[in-house]
Amino acid sequence: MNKKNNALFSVITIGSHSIKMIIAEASDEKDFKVIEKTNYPINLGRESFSKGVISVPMVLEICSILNKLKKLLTEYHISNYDVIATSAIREAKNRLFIIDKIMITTGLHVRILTNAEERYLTFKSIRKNYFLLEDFATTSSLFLDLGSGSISVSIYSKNKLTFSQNLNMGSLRLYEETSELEEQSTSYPLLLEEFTSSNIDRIIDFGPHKRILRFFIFGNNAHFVASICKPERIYPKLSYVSRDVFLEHYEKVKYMSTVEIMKKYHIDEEDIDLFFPSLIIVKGFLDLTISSGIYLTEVSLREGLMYSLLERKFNPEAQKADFDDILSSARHIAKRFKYDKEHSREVEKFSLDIFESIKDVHELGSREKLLLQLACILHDTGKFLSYEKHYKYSADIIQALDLVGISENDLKIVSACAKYHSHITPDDNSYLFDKMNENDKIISAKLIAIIRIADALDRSHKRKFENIEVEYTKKEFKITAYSSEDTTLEEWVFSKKATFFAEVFGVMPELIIKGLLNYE
Amino acid sequence: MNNELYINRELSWLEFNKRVLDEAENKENPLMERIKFLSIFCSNFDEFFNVRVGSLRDMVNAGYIKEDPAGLNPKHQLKAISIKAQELSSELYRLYRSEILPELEKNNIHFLSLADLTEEDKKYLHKYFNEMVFPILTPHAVDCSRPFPHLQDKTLNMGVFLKKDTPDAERFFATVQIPSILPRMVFLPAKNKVYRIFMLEDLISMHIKNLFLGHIVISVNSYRIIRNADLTIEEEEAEDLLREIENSIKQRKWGQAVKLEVRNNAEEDLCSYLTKELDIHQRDVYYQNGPLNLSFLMDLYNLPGFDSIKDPKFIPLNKEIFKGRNIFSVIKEQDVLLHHPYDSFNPVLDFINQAAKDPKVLAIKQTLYRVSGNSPVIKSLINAAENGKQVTVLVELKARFDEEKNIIWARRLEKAGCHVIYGLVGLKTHSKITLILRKEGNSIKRYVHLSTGNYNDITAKLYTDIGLFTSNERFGQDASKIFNMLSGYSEIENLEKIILAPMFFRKAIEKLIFREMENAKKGKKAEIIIKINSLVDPGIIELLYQASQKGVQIYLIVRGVCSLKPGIPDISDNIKVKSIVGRFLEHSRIFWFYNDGDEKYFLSSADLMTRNLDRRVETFFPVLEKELKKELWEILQGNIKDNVKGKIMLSDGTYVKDNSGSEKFSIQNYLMDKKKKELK
Repeated sequence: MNKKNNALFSVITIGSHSIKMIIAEASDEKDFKVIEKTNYPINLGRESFSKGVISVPMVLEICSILNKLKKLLTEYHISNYDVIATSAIREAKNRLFIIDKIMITTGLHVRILTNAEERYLTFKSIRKNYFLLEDFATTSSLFLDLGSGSISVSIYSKNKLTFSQNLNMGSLRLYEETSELEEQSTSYPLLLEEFTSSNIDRIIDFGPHKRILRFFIFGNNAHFVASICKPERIYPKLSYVSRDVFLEHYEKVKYMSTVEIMKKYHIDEEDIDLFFPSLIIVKGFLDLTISSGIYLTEVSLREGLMYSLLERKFNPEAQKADFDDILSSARHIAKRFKYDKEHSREVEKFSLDIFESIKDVHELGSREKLLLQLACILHDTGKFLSYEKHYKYSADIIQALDLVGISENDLKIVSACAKYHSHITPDDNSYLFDKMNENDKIISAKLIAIIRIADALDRSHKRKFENIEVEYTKKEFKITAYSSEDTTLEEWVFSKKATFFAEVFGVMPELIIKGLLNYE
Repeated sequence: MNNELYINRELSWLEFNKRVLDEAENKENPLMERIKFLSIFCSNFDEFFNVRVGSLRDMVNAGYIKEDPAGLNPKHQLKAISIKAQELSSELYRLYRSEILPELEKNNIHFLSLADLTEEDKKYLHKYFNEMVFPILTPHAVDCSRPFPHLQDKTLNMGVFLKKDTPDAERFFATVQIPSILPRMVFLPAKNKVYRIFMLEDLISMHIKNLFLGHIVISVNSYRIIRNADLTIEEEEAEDLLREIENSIKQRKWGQAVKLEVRNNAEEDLCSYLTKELDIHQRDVYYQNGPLNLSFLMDLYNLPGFDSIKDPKFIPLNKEIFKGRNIFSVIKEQDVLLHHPYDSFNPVLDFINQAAKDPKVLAIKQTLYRVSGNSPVIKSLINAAENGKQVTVLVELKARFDEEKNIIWARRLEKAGCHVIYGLVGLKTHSKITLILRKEGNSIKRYVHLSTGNYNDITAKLYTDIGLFTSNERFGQDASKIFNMLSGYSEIENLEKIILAPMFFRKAIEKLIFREMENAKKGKKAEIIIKINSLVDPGIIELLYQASQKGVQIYLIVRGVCSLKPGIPDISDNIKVKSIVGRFLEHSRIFWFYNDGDEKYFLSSADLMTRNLDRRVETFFPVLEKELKKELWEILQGNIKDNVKGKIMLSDGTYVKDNSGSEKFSIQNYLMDKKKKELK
């Protein structure tokens, strides 16, 4: 380890049933050494999921524990840290007050993660740990994140994320929603099984891969599987239990009383409510795969957050792999909407050419570049519904997407790019813009300006330009495009669309066509 | 468990105190040491009545009739205690009168009676009384308008019957509390280097009329009461006791008198009057053939010039390895054991003191249970906080008898900016652990000190305790986790090396014993040696019986209470129990398991008492380094070999001198000599 660059990092997560902290030491973005881990149980999910709000005493308890953890930050002199909250706070109606109260009492700024970001961060952890697995690159694997509030299902196929969906059916939520059943029925596990599978069956229809060879589980409640059938450790962070062994225990447990279960498997009283829902969810997904068993992994959101902190510090470029995952899943979604793949590629290529060449002007970073790419991929998905005003439908589809790693605000930007890529010029009060902060409005405008002229360059969807060259000076912005076809349409559309670009960047772009065959 | 197989802990404790008294009786000990033991015996006794008898009295008052594992309910226990305690008390005064006093006279220390005083003495005493004593005495008469006063626990009082100086006046009672700031022994001017001592109570007696002018004093006598000082229900009694008391309409009698001491020549009237006023059973009145509360004799020990009748001085020695070096670099290289008092406590003080000044140190975390009055530990911690270190101190306020003292310095720590935590609800923190976080280069290094004894520089000179310094990463991580739990940051997560009570300790011990049983069953060698202070927990005792029956050889070195009965045929044939009561209070706790040749060594802050196993935060930790294991082995073997201070416990719970071995061997002497030699 290169000691010179060694630094300390910390991540605090406010989850649905605990507040956890991790302190680690690292000298690059590749790996870290855990110095401390803490886990303070606090049942936020119970309140949030059933009542919709988190009560004042609970909020004060959060503040008090955060104040304590802050002492650890001071102790280690840690300045690189992240405090994030997941579903329990995200779904509390009073979340803004909670965040504010925490800020006032502890000085800590809590970032609420969207589901998609949560998954994205977990994937970071997956990628670090499992891409090393043999044949991971050639087969399909399903990853189930078994949280208390929600679960997420992701499918990696040949090393690429191809499907990812969040479901509001975490173990605790499932229990909270069905606890009436438990009181009324003696065969609660059986009813719960039915309830769960009816929910799961429909999801997987979206999933493109029927033959999933490996089934991985992780997350807060994955340990219940370990508690009933002792899995075998096959890698440092990976254990395995065969399908048969799991099912054997599963069937046995279904008919045991809670008291017996608590005693036999050493389950705490506060955890017992999560026991059945967790196992039943696992069983439900196991049935959807042809995996020979269950792989229990130790990836976690915390770990993912840690990697993301490390990357921010040591190697911002390292995010590329995550971006590839996001883009890959976006392409799979676009495919569902029967997009014109070639056109999207073309627009993406031109957009990136323009984006890169005017970096000094727009001063946007890699994250915005990613948003631009997503907009390019998804900008025409609305055509699936209707050609008329397709941009409007594209924007609506994007808004409804559960796009891994993309926050709500970012999604608005992508959506705005789709909505305004065609011809309408947005202002402050336009749809989507009215819900953005100033900064996001500016980002959106810049990206729209770029995608609009890039789209114009393939107006006919015929890929007339082989490649383009972009040249930017303070006074001029020249795009030289090479084509051997008739490009009159493109030139005409370009001239119409260039105005917005000029409004945003202060320079009127000029399209110069160079024929490849006929000399000028 | 069969009642027959268990010795009531109070009775076993009385046996322990008897062993202390034996040391006062032991002519091989120098006179001053015998006096010291005598004095320790008395203060032990007081604490026993304060807490143990007090707690049993609570149970009786609450109507709690549950039997202890020996089959005795609280009433039975009180009765048995009183018989035994009366016996010991008589023995104490017999010893004092027939052996100690004559020996003291041989050494020119004389206790004088009124008849021995010369006119000159009387004049001196008169002056002393008027100037020093009289002004701070407050007589308190008892009549229909003035009730019997609330006398303070453990104070000495004069009970006076008197009447007005009128023909038909009635007799009434008055009491005078003797302020404890006055020395019990009044030294008369020495003659020919002979110390002449007159007891304070006799002096007051002599002048009692001065306090009651216009009255006729009928009689005057000293008396003393011991109260139930157990203000919190002792956790070792089951929770159902608490419920019992809550449910009971009867109120607990806070601070009820549990023992009354009077001189054996006091008249019947005084006793019957006091037993009635104090609501105390005749059985709990102790008639003493000599001055009450002999613990004042400790003051004689500190008189100058009696070195010839004391043990040779021993000054704890600084361990060679630390000399002239930075303590962190030493610990970084290897684990180090400190065996107090043979090894000086200074490295522990240095550890904290250096950390306070070291710019590389980020944080210091420590548990403090009982510290000395002017503790250098506290000073260092304050210093550290002032130097900008993050200092976290867990202060256990529930440490019996030390509460007030603890609050005072806890406030001082807080003022200096330390983060002070006041223990966990329902769990006393008894573990002794210090963690120092140091930033070396750019990475974090953790240094840990774990000990069997408190961070108390004074007791470290008197108690045998073992401390371990380590920079082992796993110990460091465990220590962090423990402090995070204690600070309320986190629930406890899996620990790798340190075993923590109440969560994991019992299971760990059971597992280790089971393993020996398994090995014995297979016909392999199976042995256990445990050195502790008390063995009371019925579960562990039962398990040890089982292990014995499976053929595990068990050697227990239990200094104090031992509820297990060794050597019962077919039950505990393979168990031996020994107790060592010596110059230093045996306090270290060492566990050794043969483990089929892969010998396991552990040190512990906990005794094998139910409260330590289940209701305290305690640390039980392995010693891993080969060299250190050797040191521990030598200590254990030395304890087993000790035929000077060692006593063997018999099946009936009594003890006899260990007469094994041809040569005399005392582990404490051996270790003192060894350390001295090492230094040369």
